[in-house]
Amino acid sequence: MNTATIEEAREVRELAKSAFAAIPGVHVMGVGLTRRDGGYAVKVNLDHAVPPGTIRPDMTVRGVPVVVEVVGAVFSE
Amino acid sequence: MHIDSVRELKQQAIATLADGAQRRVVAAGVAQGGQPRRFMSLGIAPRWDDKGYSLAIRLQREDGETLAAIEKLKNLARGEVDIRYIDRVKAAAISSRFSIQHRPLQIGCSIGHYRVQCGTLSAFVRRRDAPDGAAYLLSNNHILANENRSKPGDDILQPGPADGGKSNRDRVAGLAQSIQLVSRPNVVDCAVAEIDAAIGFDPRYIPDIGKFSGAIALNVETDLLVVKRGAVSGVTHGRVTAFEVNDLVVGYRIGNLLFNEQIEIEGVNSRSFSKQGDSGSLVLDMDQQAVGLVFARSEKGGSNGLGLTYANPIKRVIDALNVDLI
Repeated sequence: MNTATIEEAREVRELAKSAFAAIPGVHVMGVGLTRRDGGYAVKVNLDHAVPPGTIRPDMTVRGVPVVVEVVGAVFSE
Repeated sequence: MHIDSVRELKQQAIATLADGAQRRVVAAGVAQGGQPRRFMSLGIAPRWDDKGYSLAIRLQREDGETLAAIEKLKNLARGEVDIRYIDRVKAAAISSRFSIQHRPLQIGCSIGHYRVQCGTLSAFVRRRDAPDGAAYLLSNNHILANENRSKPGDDILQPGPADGGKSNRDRVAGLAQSIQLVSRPNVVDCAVAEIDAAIGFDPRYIPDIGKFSGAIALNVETDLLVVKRGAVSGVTHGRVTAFEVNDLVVGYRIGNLLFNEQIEIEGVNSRSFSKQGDSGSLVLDMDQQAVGLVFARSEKGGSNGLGLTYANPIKRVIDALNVDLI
């Protein structure tokens, strides 16, 4: 059960972004808020997948779950 | 890159894609063998900053096969690529009933600055300082103001130029105001055009959706179900997957720009929520309240893998322009 609040998710958003931005070759395409398992989470969008084993699938930052998705490039339509 | 380098790169790209699993992509793009199913073309495009050229990749399909090919080309070109979804979308626009001439003007129809291909008419608004004054149509800066490269009074056409709109026949409005796209983080990509006196409009009826309430949704949260009518894909349904998205990197012809506070939406029913030409679409919740203004899309992502749509929060849009929805 995830009990993270929206305020807690907002507070750790930058930390989550920094963690991924530090991975060589990985580009963060956006960092937002989402819901997981009843509570709030940080969603990190990447341009491509991180190397296997780089991050834990159940990664959290200060107890806030981090959801990762590969979205590729984003274009104006 | 120098143009000769890009020419050489283009030939390498064709050769690379000609191998193995990419053969059908190449057949489509450069008419090499077999039955061409056009969904990728390679070319050369000037860089947005006029500093040389990049490899132009024009896509007509967005499945896994195409995405794998894009990854190969990105690596080969070391990122110096200019990717656009074209042709198939254009064909859809031409054949779509949303892209024909609509009088009175309607939410969701094709619209565009005379030098822009086309986008979607979002909604109708009036200035807060002149609530009984002229009516304006709302869409994106990159649809109505050509990414900052426009001047007040410029012709706004319905349908947009890519759908056959001509200045001498299809002008419906003159550009009035745009919020500049800037290098620091943006929140909105929006503009308004003053509707010409002789042009009628219907501010509430949205074909295949119903009556727009004219209200704004106060709470936008994950899993909120939404709907939009776009000039290319028509009516599609979606689900909010994230909100308050910051540091969103969006590719424009003038270069990559950052956006904060954005809404992220995935399509449902095995459809993408939006396609090229749907920019400007008004996103509504199930109570027909305005949620956002579509402006961008990712090449991947979403539970159906068809990409994610990004929308400006509509409240931020109308506040930035100092207008109210009609």
